[in-house]
Amino acid sequence: MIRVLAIAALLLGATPVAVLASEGGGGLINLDRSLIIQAINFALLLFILAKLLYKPLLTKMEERTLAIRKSLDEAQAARAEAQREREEHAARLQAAHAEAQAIRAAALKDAAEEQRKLVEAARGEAARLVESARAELASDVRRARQDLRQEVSELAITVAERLIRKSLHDEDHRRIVADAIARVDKAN
Amino acid sequence: MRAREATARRYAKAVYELARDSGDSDAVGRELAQVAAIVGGEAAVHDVLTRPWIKPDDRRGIAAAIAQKAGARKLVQDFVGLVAERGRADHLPEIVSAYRALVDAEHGQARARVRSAVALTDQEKQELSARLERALGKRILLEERVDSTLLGGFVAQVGSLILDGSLDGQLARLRQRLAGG
Repeated sequence: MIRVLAIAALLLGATPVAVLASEGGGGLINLDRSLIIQAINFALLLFILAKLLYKPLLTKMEERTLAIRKSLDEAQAARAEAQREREEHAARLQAAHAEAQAIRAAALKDAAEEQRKLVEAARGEAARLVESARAELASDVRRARQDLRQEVSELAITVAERLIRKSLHDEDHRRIVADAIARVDKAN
Repeated sequence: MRAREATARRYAKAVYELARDSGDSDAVGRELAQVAAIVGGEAAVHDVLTRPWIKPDDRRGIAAAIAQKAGARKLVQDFVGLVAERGRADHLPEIVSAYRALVDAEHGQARARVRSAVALTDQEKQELSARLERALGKRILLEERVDSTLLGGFVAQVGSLILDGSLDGQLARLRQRLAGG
């Protein structure tokens, strides 16, 4: 508004100069009543312009300013929101990362424990198998020895029986019977 | 087997008591053994006396006739007939053994069943009997038989007592020692 009035005053100041300059013999502005009419016209025009043009323009400008400010505020808010969300996402990501790390660590620990148990069980089983195989082997050896002893004794006794049967004479029988009779008292 | 022996003992005791009362227990025992040998030795006779479908009266008659034919006294004829009638003719060998045991108990004697690789001489028998009598405190009746499966020596059994004087027994003990380690 001030600027408009300044422009109008400038125009008013310049006009007499232009009129006087062109007057040598009469210009556009004369310092008489017409000047007052012109001034009134001018003021009237100024008023109308201010009323019909300047005020809507100012209102529009104001609205525009407000809209821009609002947009700026919204942009600021959106930026702040985005920043907040970004931070929130970063925090969430960090928490997820930490949780993943914890899960991984727990899984690694579980796997290590499971591996330890498996190894321990495998060692136990291996020891048991070895012990069982050793016992079985010992049993087999014992059985084989017993079988061998049995067979050898059977063989020896069979051979002895054949030899005795072949070599026994009547006098041997008599002596054997006499020995057996002599043992009757002792046996009882 | 135990039931069969128990049955035989009941029959033997019954006939023994009758024989003892008449004072002929030894003779009755001999005749019983003779009839049992005939019945056991002849398969046809044994079959006839043990078949359940032959009438009990017929079995009785046949058994009594066999005993009579063998010269057994009336008591033995009746007893054998009764045994056949009751279907117990196959028990005769056990009855004879049980009867002998009763007679032996009456006389305070015991039977020694001796299996030997070769026949024992009279002197050996006397010696063995004498030693067994000393050992057991009873008069011993030797029942000897030669067992060719024995290598040498003898095995004597008196009741539940077994005296093993055979080479087979010695070898068996040796085998056991060798096998046992």
